[in-house]
Formats: sequence, structure tokens, C-alpha cells
Amino acid sequence: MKKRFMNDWVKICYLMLIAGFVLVPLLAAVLGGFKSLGELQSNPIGLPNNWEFEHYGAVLNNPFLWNSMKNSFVISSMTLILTLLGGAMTAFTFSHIRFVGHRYVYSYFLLGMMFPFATGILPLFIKIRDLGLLDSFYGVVIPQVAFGLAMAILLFKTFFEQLPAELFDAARVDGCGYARFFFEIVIPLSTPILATVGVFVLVTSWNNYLLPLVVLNNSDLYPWTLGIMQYQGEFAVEWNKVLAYVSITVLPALAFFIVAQKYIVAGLTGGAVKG
Amino acid sequence: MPQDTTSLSQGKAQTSWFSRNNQGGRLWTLLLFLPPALCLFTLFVVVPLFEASFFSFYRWNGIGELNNYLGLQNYSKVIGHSAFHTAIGNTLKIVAVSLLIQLPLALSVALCVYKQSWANTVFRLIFFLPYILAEVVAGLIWKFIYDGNYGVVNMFTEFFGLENYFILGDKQWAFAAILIVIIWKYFGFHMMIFIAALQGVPNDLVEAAKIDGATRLQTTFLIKIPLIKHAIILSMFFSILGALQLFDLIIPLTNGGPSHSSHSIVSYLYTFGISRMRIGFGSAIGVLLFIACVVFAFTYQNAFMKDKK
Amino acid sequence: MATVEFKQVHKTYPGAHIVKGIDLKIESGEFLVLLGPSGCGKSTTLRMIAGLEDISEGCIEIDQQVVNDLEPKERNIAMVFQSYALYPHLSVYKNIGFGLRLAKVDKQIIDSKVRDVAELLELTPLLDRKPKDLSGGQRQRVAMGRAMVRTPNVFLFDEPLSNLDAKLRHTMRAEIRQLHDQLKKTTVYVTHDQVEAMTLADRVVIMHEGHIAQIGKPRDVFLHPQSKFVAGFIGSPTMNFLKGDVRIDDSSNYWLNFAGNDVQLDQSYSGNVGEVDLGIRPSDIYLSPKTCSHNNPLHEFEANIDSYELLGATALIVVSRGEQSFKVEVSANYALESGQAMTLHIDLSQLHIFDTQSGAAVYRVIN
Ligand SMILES: Nc1ncnc2c1ncn2[C@@H]1O[C@H](COP(=O)(O)OP(=O)(O)OP(=O)(O)O)[C@@H](O)[C@H]1O
Ligand SMILES: [Mg+2]
Repeated sequence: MKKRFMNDWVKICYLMLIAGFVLVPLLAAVLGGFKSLGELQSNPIGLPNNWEFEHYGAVLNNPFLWNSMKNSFVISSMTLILTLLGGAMTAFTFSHIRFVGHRYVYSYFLLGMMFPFATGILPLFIKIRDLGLLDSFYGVVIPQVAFGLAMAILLFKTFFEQLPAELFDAARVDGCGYARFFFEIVIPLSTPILATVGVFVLVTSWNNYLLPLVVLNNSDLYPWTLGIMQYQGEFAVEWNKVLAYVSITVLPALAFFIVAQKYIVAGLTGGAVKG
Repeated sequence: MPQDTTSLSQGKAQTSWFSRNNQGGRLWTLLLFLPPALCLFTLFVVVPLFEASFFSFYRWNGIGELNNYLGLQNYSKVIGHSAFHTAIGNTLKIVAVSLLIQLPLALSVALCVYKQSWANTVFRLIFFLPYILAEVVAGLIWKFIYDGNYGVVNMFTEFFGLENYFILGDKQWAFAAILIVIIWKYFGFHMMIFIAALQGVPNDLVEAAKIDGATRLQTTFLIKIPLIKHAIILSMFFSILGALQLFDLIIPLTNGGPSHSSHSIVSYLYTFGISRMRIGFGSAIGVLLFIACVVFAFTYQNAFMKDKK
Repeated sequence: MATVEFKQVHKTYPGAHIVKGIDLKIESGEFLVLLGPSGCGKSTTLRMIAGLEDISEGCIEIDQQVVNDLEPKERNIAMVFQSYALYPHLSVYKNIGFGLRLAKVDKQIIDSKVRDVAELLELTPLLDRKPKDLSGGQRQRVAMGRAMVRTPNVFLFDEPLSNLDAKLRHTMRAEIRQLHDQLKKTTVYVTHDQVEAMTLADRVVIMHEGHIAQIGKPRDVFLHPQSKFVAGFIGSPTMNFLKGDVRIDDSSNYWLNFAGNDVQLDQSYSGNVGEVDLGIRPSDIYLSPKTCSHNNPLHEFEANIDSYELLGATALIVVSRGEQSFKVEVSANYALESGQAMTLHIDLSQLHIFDTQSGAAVYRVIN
């Protein structure tokens, strides 16, 4: 029993140590926004001696921040809706319509998960430019959807195939066609997987950096990831301002994480471990 | 069901192929549901890939005619470029650190917190937190920590009365600093994979081992870890693929510097291909990256993941 | 009211011939049960009537109209599934009304129809619940309600009771039969439970590997199996099969020799001379002649008890005589034990003789 007790203590100390490693940088960032530059030098991680609220105030009053957040929101929402709709419809053709050769088409989509976004980025850039989509949200949204489809289709197909087959038969007897079955039965029954995929698509899109960097030049259209880098470029050494800005941009992600935690974990474990 | 063409069908030859296969609006639905995604995927994912291999034989700045055929020159330039060698070396370092430090860390933590309890949930959330932050945010926060004038590094140098030290500006150590950030950011993700797998280990097996007289350590190493082998294999797969794709984190931290010593493959591609609009050269890098990913993914899946399915 | 007629219906999947030429006419208002071992093609047959499965060859007619190319909804049928297949996200009310809604029936008419059916099935208090908040028996009734509300011409059931516990199965069975008597709708009911088949059916169709093995009234199927397969499939505990020998004597009488005894067969014997398969049900063997109520010819023989198994009101003993061993169902009142020697009486009128090659029944004494 004594040994067991010791074990537990070792375990808790170990976990605390790692929790410290994870949390200290985050706390330092949040608290840093309340400090003067001088204090930031002498006391980078502790509580501020002198709380300065003006840095956070300035950031909150910065229209650029809000504009970039709004842009990110628009881009992510469009990506979300299109990926969910396109992914679910496509997965349904594999799970229920099962046309001749559907396995090959499915494998073709899955290939898309195998290589990084960056490999074709230059031709993609040329394509977006030739389509006149540079400096527009569509230029970011459409490739994001295209790249998000593979994972969405994989997860949706697996889920749809697990719906009881008799449900489809019952619906057919009730007079439901394929499209109707999809919209009236499959989609309402798929909320867990829609949420899981949705959370992932949303987070990926919200955090995307490379694609908007390549596609968007006009800083009015910048999503927050580009915005934050631009802000940091302007106020390079005024760390208290930069940290305040960083902390505020983290808030939506944090709030979202707390709300959607269940689905994030489900997506990881369901999607990842089975995948 | 209508997949098989019912060749047995006797002379009665009823209705047309179309109406037989279109029961319940099957074909119409197919025509409505499949093409949008298929076109989008082909146009924006697959076609650029082929174009990349085409462009990689030319020198082109994206404007004007594509007529400066170079053959394999772009490839030989990439392969001979010392910054590219550094980027490859760095990628290998990420792989090594992921496998030797990050994975054991994630596994040990997962073993500590995989059981359902209030405290474990809190720990899990804390460890997972960095994973949901955007890479640029993680990069900026750590840039502050590493800042020689302000951050934690400064705290240490002041304390020991040393000169200000800018680790991210030190050719020797800049990438090591990035590796720490990588561990910080991603170990929680791997922990989650392990937790899911550990929760799937049947409890009676663990109990049976206990009754057989196994110690806690023995159950861990002889029962639990072998039973989550598939999760470890998967986690290694993600680590390596992730190392090949790393980009967002590098830019805020070092932007690849000092003197191109801390590039990943993608940040190398960005710096030398995209930002200088050298389409051909950049495409050659992309093609090499693609080949690396596909070769890796196929060999890895054949070697480790085949029997699982 | 509708008839359903199968004309040389086949079903093939790539590489598998599942239904091999079924000819069958189901009368209007009849309750027909498809019975057979697992995998024999019952569900496939039923699903072809419903239009959920293509007909590979031949045709199915409902009310003299070929329905091969009609959509399920155009066939005027309704189906109850084994798993009930209720829509989990819809309330009981909406589940029942779903088909009518799709058929664009007027809202008020839907409402009154749904409520009528709910009343009939005693579902009224449950109308607002979701399927997950119902018990197994209630779900089963909702599934039936969904079928009934559309006033179809033909009801199709695919093992509707197999997910219920024994007691509930019993009550639901009675309910289904009662509903049928009330509505008088043509019904095709698939099951592999013989008790269900016996109690529900007007006629039973016994299927075997894609063929129809026998069609008949439940009693006929039980008493006059036309093949060794049907004889072995119907009845529980299963029929005893033994080997016997038939020979013909100088005055062209047929003699059956089995278990070391000779029995004379009457002229109805239509089989060959030589080895045959015999079948006798465990309930047609008696411990004492008195327990056999009717005045049938009995054949007496000695045997040893190998094992004794109490089933409840009856007990099953396994007895052996030389090489042969068979089951006997006796009243639980007898105090018997293994190893005991005893005299048994076989009711010869219940003896079945099957051709060894084809399995066809070749002799059955009148009854
Ligand atoms: N899509 C299919 N492709 C190939 N074979 C199939 C397919 N569907 C069913 N079968 C086969 O057809 C045979 C008959 O199936 P069916 O479902 O009709 O059996 P059943 O008599 O209803 O059995 P049970 O009592 O188990 O429900 C089975 O051997 C099954 O494996
Ligand atoms: Mg069946």
C-alpha cells in the first residue's frame, strides 16, 4: 500500500511538471499583455506588479483585429458549409448508391489525404490567379474545401455505412427516393459525425496560414493569422502589445475548444485510430 | 443492388437500362451528388499535382510564355542546394525527436491519465491545449519566451549574470529551440491517440494479468503497450508525415534563419520558390516532397499497417 | 385485397444463385408464412415482393399485374422489419405518418389516419415519444402501425418478432393474428420459428436452399412431410431418423426390417426395395401401450436408456438398441434413470419412410 502511495505521488509530480511546461508559456503570454516593457524584461512570467490595461484596450479598439477576425469567420464558415455538404453528398454515393466503380473513385479521393497541401501550391496559385480569384475569399475557400473533402468523405462514408440497412429499405417502402432519404433521414441522423468533421474543418480553416498568405495580398482581406503576423511585424519589440494581441486571438479558439471538446476528441479518436 | 447487369433476364426484356437503374431516383441523385466534389477535387488537388511535375522542367516566373525548357536542371539545383540539405537534415531531426522524445512523453502521459476521472480530464485538456492553438500563435508565444531581451531565456541569463542570448539567432541552437516548440505543440495530439487506444484495452485482460501476479510495470509493458501497438504505429505515421509538412511554426519563430539554417522542407519551398515566384524551381521541390510522402506512406503502410485491415 | 403470384422467380447475385425458380400463388386475404433455415432465401423472396431487390428472372404479379419494374411505393405493399427500422429522429407520430407525408396526403387526413391506427394499436399515449424511449414491444407496434396506416394491399413481415423476449413474442403473435383476422389483408410472413409458423399461418411454405420444399396447411406439413428435409425441419424435438431395409416376399408383400424387427407394410408403399430412411417423431414412441390413446398398431421392442433430460411437463430420453439410438418424449411423471432397460412401443401409423437417394417420402400410413 505504501508503495502504491509513492507511485501516485511520483505520477502527480510528473504530470504537474509537464503541465507547467505546457502552461507557463501560455500564462506568460496572457500576463505579458498587462505589463510594461520594463517589467516584461525583469519579470517575464510572474504576475505583474503593476497591471497595465492599456495594451489590451488598444488591441480591443484596433479595427484591424476585428476586421481580420471577421474575414476569418467568413472564410471558415463558407469552407465549413461547402465541405460538409460536398463531403456528405459524395460519401452517400459511395455508401448507398454504390455505382459501378465506386471503390476506385473512393480510393481516388483518399489519395488526397496522402500528400501535403504545399506540394502543388505553385500550380494552385497559378490556377487561382488565372481564374481571377486572387485577393478574394473564394480563392482561399475553394482550395480549402477541395483539400478537406478527402477526410470528410472518409469519415462520412464510414458513418453512413453503419446506419442500419433496414432503415433505407423502410424508407423505400415508405416512398422515399435516394435524395430524399439523404436529406430527410441520413443528415438528421448524422449530427455526431457532422459535428466531428465540422469541428475539424473549422479549426483547420481558422488556423490556416499558408494558403491565405499565397492568395491574399490586400490586408483588408487578411484572416487573423496573417493579421497577427503583420501586427507583430509592426510592433516587433513592443512585446506587451504583441502578447495582448496574441492572447485575444486565442480566446475564440479557446472558447470553441471548451464547447466542442467532445467532438474534437471524437474526431481524433474515431477518425485517427480507425483511419 | 442494381450493380449487376442482370444478364440472365430472359427474352421478356422489360424496361430500359436507365429506368431500371434509376429506381428511387438513383441515377439523378448520383448525377447531382458526385460531380461537384469530384470536379473540385480534381481541379484543385489532383491537376495542380500533375502541373507541378510539368512546370518543374521549366524556368518560369508565372508570367508570359512557358518556353524556357530546362530538363532536369531544376531538380539538380534543388538537390545540390546546401539550404535544401539543411532542410532535409532538419526534417530528419524532427522525426528523430518525435520518435525518441515526443512519443515516449505522450505515451507516458497517456498511461497516467487515460482512466476516467475528474483530475485526469483536467490534465488531458491542459496537455491537449497547445494542439488547438494556431501554429502562428504558438510560434509567436515561443518567440517571446526565447527573446534574449525579454523572455524566459533573458530571465536565466540575467540571473546568472550572462550576456543577453538570442537562441533563435544562434545558428547552432535555433533549430533545437524549434524542436522544443514542436514537442510542446504536438505531444498532446499523440497523447489523445494513445488514450483512445488504451481505453479500448479490455479491462479483463489487465485484471487477468494482475491475478497472474504481474506488477503494475509488467502489466504496462507486457499487456497495455503491446495491445496499443496499432496506435503507436499510427502515431509514428502522423509524426513523420507532420515533419514533412511543417511550415507555419517556422515562419514566426525564425523565418528559416539565421542564414537558412532552420528551414523545414515546406518553408524552404516557400522561401525559394513561392516568395521569389520561381514556379519551376518551387514545383521541383513540391514534386520531390510529393514523392517523399507517397513513398513513405506506401512503404510504411505496407510494412506496418497492412495486417491491421 | 390482392393476390400475389410468383412465376419461375429466380434471384442471382454475382456468383451465387439464391432463389431457384419459385412458383407460388398467394390467395387474397391469405396469411402465408415462409419458413426455412437461415440463409435459404426467405428474406430475399420477401424483398423481391417489396421491390427492394431486383428480380433476376421470372416475374411477380400482384393482383395480376406484373410488378417487376415498379418502385416499392407503387406496389401498394407495406413491410415490417426485423429491427423495426423506425426513424430514430422522428416521433412515433411522425414515424407512422412519414409515408403518407411523402405521398403528399393532406395534413388533416394524415392526422386522422395516424390517430386511428394509434388507437387500434394502443399507441395513443406514446405518439410524441422518440423510438429510443419505447420498449421493444412498443417499437414493434409502431412498426406495424407504420405499415397499417397506408392501408396496403399486401403486408410483408420479415421476422418481426425475433428481437422480442419469449413472453412478448407470444402476446405479439396473438395480436398479429388477431389483426389479420380483423383486416383480412394478404400477408406474407417470414420466420424461422416453427411455432410462429404453425400458429399464424393459413398456409406454410417451407424453403430449402432457394427451392420450395413443401407448401401446405400447418397441420399437413407437420403430419405429412413430403421429404426428409421437411420432416427433419418441422417438429421439436426433431424427428428420429434410422436406417431400415425393405424387401418383398413371394406373395409380393413389402416387409420393413429395422432395429432387428420385421414389420409388414401395406400396399401404399411406393418406394424401392433395399435400404430406406425411416423417420419417427419422439412423441410417437410410448413407454406403455396404455398411454397411446388411439388404437393404432404398435410395434414393441426393448431398449436401454442412455440419458434423461427433463424439459418441463415432458422429458426427453435417449434410448439405444444395438447400433441405433433415438429420442423419445415421455411424460415427466415417469421416474426413469440412465442405464435402465425397458420396453418401448412405436406407433407404426406414424412411421415415415423416405427414399435414401432423393429424400422423398415414399410411405406414410393413413391418418
Ligand atoms: N447482396 C448479396 N450478395 C450476395 N449474396 C447475398 C446477398 N444478400 C444475401 N445474400 C445471400 O443470399 C442467401 C439468402 O439470404 P436471405 O437473407 O434471403 O436468407 P434468409 O432465409 O432470410 O435467412 P435468415 O433466416 O438468416 O434471415 C444467403 O446465403 C446470403 O448470404
Ligand atoms: Mg432473413
